[in-house]
Amino acid sequence: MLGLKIEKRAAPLPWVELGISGLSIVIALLAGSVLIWTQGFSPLHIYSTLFSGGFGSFSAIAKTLTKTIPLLLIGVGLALAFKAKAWNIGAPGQMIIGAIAGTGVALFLPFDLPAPAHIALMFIAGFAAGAGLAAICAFLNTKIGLDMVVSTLLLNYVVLKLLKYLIYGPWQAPGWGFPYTKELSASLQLPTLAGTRIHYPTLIIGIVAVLLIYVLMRRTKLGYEIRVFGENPKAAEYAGINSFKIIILVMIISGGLAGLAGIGEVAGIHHLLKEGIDGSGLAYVSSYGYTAIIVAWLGRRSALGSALAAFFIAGILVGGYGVQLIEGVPFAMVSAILGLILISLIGGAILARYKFTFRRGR
Amino acid sequence: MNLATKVFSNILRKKTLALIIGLAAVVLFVSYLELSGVKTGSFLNRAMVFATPLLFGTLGEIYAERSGILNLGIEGMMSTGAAAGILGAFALRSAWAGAAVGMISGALLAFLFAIAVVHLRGMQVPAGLGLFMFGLGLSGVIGVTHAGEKLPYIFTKTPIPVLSDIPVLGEFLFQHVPLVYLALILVPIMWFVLFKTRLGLNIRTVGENPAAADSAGVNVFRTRYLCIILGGALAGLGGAFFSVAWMHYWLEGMTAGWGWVVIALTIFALWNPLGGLLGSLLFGGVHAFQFELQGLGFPIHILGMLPYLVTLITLITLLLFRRRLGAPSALLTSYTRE
Repeated sequence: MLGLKIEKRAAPLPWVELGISGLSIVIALLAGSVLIWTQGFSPLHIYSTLFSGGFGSFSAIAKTLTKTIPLLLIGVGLALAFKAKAWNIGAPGQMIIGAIAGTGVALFLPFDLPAPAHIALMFIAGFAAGAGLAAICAFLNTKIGLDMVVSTLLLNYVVLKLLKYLIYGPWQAPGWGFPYTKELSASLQLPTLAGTRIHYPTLIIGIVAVLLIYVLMRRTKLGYEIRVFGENPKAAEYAGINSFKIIILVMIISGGLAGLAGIGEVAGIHHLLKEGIDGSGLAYVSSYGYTAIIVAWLGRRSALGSALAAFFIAGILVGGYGVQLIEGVPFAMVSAILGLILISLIGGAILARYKFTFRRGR
Repeated sequence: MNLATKVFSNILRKKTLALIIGLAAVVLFVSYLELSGVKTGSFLNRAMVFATPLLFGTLGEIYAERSGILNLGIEGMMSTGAAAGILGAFALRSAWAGAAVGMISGALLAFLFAIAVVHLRGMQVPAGLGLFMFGLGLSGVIGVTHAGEKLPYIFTKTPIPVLSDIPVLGEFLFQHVPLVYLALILVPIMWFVLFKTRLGLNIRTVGENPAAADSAGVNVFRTRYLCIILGGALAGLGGAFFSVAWMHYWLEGMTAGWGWVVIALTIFALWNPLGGLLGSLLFGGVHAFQFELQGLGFPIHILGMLPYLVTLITLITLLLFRRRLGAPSALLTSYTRE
């Protein structure tokens, strides 16, 4: 007879963690295939189109890398925030407010600056706006106990309305009446790698952010404090760790990175401010700010893991757009599958805490 | 004066102050409405319609949170409820059937969430976010065949005899489609069950101290499943209200973040169904008011911020008034017998 023995595991093994991420993707894809099948499509065909569209060619990889940039920036920030159990669900709003602030600096700076300094100022404004919005929520959380999920989320809708107000109102470009601002002057548009839309300055910022957060988490006392605080806030308090400092810090970093992603999309890709700069062009939930939540969890809330996950999820997004164009499968299918990945990841986390061994006999 | 009377008079002062401010606000508001030519009765009627989906969602979420489970996936379940509701109504040629299908779809999604957080003991916040994305995605997939199509099978307004003739109040509460009455009736029923029955006591104990509940013979797992699934069913019904009872069509993203407002209202309600009614009406009122202000030439997108901002500011004010809201102690913790 085959017996199952379950033991508690002291510390999860790295390969188990990796296994859970892989398993969750498989489960989500299987469940997704049922959904695809019920809509009258062939799951195998759809998935092969999706993955070849995301990873199958040089141009596919280039598109995927382009979408990796915002996911990387936001995802690694959220990984840090989630590590401290600071539930920042406001990345979509922080991204848009960053884009608004950066665009404001780009279009309405009252004095002249050399282009590189002007671009730097745009990015600083983007970071500051995103960080400021997140810091308000962190402050309200630590000072009066306002739930951060609620405050960050409600602000997403407020900021979205602000964007609409600006592009249909005072910031609208004169002329055609489209809900756009006027285009950034050519000197403020970011350079891209030849033949692609990969705006490499933002990509470099993203990679630097990943490395800095990796060092912060693994090599500094502060990183240690963040991890302890996330595991057990009460114990952390007894150990003299300042919860206010930790929450404000991780929120400023994650919000600021989301703001950078926002101005990066404007300066690198769209060159103007409009709806959908946050990636929500096809389905409202597909904003990079929401998708990056999955990036952070798929990457096991680590900096390097999030970087890999950002690339993988970006590929699925790119493939998903392709599948909608070629096969007519609604893009919402991708959102559904991404949501399933997250649920499976959370449900599967129990595997890391227990050791399952099979043995013969009794 | 001893300490007790001091504390007591302090509380009394705060409550009286809040009451006076509240009354003054209502009087100002109603006189403003009448002066600017808006009929108070029809305004309140609209506010009640807007409040209904929120009320369904909030009542359900109150039960889930009272059992110790924060389900952030309301927005997802509402979206799916809205899409499934329209599909059901078209397929079964009845608005009632649509509402039922929406409800079932919400319950099924909640069941999925319950497995992840109760038995597999996953973290509730990210699992709820996963449900949010899955539900929104799912609604986009299944709803696309009927997107924007006008639903021919709708609820009819059924004014309640006698009561609906009361001035203002009659128009406010008693001239609606049946689902609105259902939501209103659920408020006292769910309040009674939660605070005056054995079942309610069990639910609250599970949410305050699951270990104690377990040793007293309450099945913690079953109670939590029950509350989560009830919450999902009501969220699904709230979503179906959007499409089947209110708009009579479905569009992707039509629930517009109201599922998240439910999460805020649950806190505002202090986990009490009666508070849920108050919060829903407040949000519904602000939402209705913003349409009145649109007519006066305020920019619509700035006005669109109002419901969300008012919700936030109300929560902040509430927190400034009382430091401890009394959230269920075991909220966000999973339970195991080890």
